Amino acid sequence: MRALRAIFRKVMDTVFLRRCKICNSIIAEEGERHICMGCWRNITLIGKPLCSCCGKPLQISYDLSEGLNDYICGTCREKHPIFDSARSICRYDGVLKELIHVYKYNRVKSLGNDFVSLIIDHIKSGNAIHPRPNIIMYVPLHRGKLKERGFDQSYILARGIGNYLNIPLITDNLSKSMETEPQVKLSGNERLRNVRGAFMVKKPDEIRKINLLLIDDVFTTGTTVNECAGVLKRAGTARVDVLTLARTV
Amino acid sequence: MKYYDLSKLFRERPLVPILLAYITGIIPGRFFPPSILSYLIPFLIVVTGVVLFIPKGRSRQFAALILTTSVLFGQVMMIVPDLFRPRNHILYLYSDDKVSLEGRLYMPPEITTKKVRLYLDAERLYKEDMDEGYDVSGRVRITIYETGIQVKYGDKILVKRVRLHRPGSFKNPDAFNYETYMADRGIYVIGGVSRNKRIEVVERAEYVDIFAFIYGIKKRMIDFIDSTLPDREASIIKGMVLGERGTIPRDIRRIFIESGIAHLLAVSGLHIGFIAFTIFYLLKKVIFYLLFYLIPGWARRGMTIKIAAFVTIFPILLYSILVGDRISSVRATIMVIVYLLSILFDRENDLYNTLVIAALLILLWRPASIFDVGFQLSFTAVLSIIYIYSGFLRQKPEQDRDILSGDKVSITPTPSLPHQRGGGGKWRSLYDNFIYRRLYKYILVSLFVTLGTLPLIAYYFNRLTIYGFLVNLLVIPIASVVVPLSLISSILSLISTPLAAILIKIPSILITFLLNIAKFSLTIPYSTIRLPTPPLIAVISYYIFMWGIINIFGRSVSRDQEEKKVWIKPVSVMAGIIFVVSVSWNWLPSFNDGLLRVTFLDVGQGECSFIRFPDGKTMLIDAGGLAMGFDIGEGVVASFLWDQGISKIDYMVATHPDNDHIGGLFSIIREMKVKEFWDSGEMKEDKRIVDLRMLVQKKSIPVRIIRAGMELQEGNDIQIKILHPSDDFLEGLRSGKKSMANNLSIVLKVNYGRVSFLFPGDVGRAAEKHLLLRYGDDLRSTIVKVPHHGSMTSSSYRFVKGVHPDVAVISVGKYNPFRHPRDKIVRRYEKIGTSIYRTDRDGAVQVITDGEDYSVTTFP
Repeated sequence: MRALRAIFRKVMDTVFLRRCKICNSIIAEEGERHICMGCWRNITLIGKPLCSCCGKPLQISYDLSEGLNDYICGTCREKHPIFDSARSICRYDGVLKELIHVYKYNRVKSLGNDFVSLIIDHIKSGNAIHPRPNIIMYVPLHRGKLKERGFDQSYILARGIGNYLNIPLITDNLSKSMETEPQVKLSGNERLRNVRGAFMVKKPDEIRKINLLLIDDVFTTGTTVNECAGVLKRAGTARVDVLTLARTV
Repeated sequence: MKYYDLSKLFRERPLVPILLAYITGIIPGRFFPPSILSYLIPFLIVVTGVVLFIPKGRSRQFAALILTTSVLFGQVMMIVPDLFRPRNHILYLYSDDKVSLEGRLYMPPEITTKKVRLYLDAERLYKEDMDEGYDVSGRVRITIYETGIQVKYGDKILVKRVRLHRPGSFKNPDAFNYETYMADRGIYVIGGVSRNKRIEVVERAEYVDIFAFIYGIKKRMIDFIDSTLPDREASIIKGMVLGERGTIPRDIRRIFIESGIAHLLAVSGLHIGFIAFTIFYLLKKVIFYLLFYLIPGWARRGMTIKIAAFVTIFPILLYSILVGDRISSVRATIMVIVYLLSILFDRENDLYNTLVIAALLILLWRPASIFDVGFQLSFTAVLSIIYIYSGFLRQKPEQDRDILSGDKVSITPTPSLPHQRGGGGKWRSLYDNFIYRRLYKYILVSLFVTLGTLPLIAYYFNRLTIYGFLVNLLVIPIASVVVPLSLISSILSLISTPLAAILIKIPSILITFLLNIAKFSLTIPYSTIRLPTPPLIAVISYYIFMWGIINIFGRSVSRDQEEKKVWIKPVSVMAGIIFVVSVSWNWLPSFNDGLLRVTFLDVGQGECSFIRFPDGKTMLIDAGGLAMGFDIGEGVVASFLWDQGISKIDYMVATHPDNDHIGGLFSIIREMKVKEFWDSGEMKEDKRIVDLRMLVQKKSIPVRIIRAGMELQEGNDIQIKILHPSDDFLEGLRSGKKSMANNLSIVLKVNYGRVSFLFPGDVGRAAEKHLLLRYGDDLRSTIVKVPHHGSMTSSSYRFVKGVHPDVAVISVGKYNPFRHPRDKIVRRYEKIGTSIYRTDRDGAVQVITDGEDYSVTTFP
């Protein structure tokens, strides 16, 4: 069976070439990756120290990380976000930024798997997500956007993480009822207005008094996930922790 | 020596070298007789290639192993039909006698305006004198020279009293080999009957398989189109959409060919791509809503596009079966399906690789397709498109995706648009999006397809369509409306005929419009140029040159192309020089080698002699006729002349008005430069010769009225003497005896030193007698073309004795109904020691002489 699989994979690789989405070179490694090892290494992961609330990495040149576990950044101290915590795997720049663009705007859905494995690797290497959530949810796309894109980028990430952590994924409860402008184009205040009231919870019973992990692709100012967290908490969720693939710094 | 490392190619696109090796295995078997050497050479080529281009190491061993296996496979594939042919194959069992044959149609009948072709899987063969037949196998094609027969795929029929034979070719130098062409399609034996009543349906198809179902639908669509539209439009739409080209009238076909848009008549990527696109697009919408409300997780996981891709495969397969197995449509089907599979398996579609896969699959299915013009044109056209896309039009590799879903979102605006910066507004964006992106690409793609296929069209069809590129620009958008609308109405006709009948009016009107554009383009002078066949080396050097030019001036795609450029320049300059030299070779005044070449062409039942004088001047005496709707003048004589590098005829002789002599001259006059037309000026009541004279007049060709006694000195050593008809003979006819067309044939004698040729046309006994009386010993000739195909009424004993030839050439067709040549006549020549050559047996007969000696070559 394994041999058959290997043959099938070989045939597939011969028929449909696997090229790196970044540098366009043929990927020699086995498996289903879409980025070559060279480009993969250029992805910058976010390490400690960081804001224990919003997950923003701190610009500290000397090693203080041990003592800074409970550090909270200026923005969060000024106005504590609605979500309980947010963490991101990598910086939203360079290779990863390009990859996410290809993923979302060129609709290369299969990149989702590469992102999932990036997240899983991160979790494996000791960056536990805690407290352990009861269920996983994602920041959904509006129907129109989903139809256009063909897939929901956050759902794919959430599904992968859920499968790995063996935590149930709840589909179609948190939903986006309003089509909004892409946040990328807007400034801080506009973003807030843009997403206000865009999300709703369909079945509040399902999420009452539980710890929830919310997945999104990119964390910029946190407006979108904060809005979602607000809606979820109003529906009775005990705790909302956010995990995004990337964040701006 | 620093060699170019191709191991990267082997690692990245291994199918490319595998395809090339496989083709290397296929090709020699066709051109060289089987011998150890011809089997070994392909291996040597491939192994040398591996040693030269792949560095030492495991990858070299691996490449050598894979590639030699591919060569071997190619060689084996070419001999498979010969190896596994059963003992009772029809090829071993047919004979010259009439037989009755029972078999089942493995394809729907092929219907044309005048005939119907049935393709049978032979089952039983009955000889004339036997009641019990015996089992046979193999495929047979039966042509009925009448339309209206009601048989369909799967029916078992009995063909009564048919003479089976090998597909006949006109056996001339470098000629198209019909026998091989048919054998490549698995047909070794064919036959023809004149009437439908010779076909008896033994058993109607009782089983309904998927093919019967599809052909049934096709039949209904054809009937709908036939009954709704005028014949002309109906035939074109059937050709364009359903792959039924048989009923397209000859003149319409000619318009399509001459204006350079014949490709529209073949179902190809344009059609299959369109259907795939439409179905995929609609399915995506429907499936999305279904999933979104029923299985939302699947919708979000991106299953919509996968399901849509999977489902789309089936209608594409159906359509592909419906339009038949032409290479262009099979190629397009494979490419579309590979694309859909790439979506299904979340993989990226590489267009080059997809094209190679299509080529490999087609060559596995029919290895000999590589020799097929259709194959070569189809693949060259698509390769040109892909090449231009990857070389000029591509900005980022990812954008290769989504050829089907069309609207793609590009993340980085094309950096190379100068007008994109600065102010804008509505018109600017229209300009950017439409004019630049679409129109510019469209024009560039059309241009490249034209440039890419041009040498092949020149090589195979001796044609350059000067405005073809522009006509295509206008016509393709029309066709891309005609195809979907016709198809939609055809499908609609299965549900509601009246509605479909209204809808199909639109494509019908557009077809008329399209035809008018094509017709108009032909009124422009020099719209289509005929040219002699360019040498193969010119074709090859053209491609190398074009490839080099694009690489030098095109936008470089990747960094390693910079390295390549070092040797691209000298190579393309070399190719350019070779191209110019090899093409202009044809146009240089030919070198006088002192040889007179006379070729008696195989034109079936008919006559055609071609003379090439030592100084390069040419004479054509007759050009065969029209046989069963096939124009021998165009298909055999002109094609022979083009292949010999001849584009002008200095003296064209029309001996007498019979179809089998002058029928073919019309196309020669239409397509070649004729300097002088020789005619007896007699037979004013014969419509054919009158038409020919009108055409000659229209083309402003000088006419020489031929009478006995005229003489022409050709160079220093050659005399052309006119022996017949003389004024005396004509007088004699006018005073009493009824006119005899054959006896008025022009008779020519060509003398070159000690060697002489006599061309007596179709003269009968009366003229022979007159010739003997008038010229006596002067009639003696070394080589004679036997008068009137060796019939009983010519070659009288005294004539044969008077001419006393060393060599007699009988121009005659196999199985002709007149039973020419008569054995008695043949014996009459043999008795006096003449060597007999027959075009039915020996093919073209070529006599080359220097005025002292002569040699005879045949092309059996």
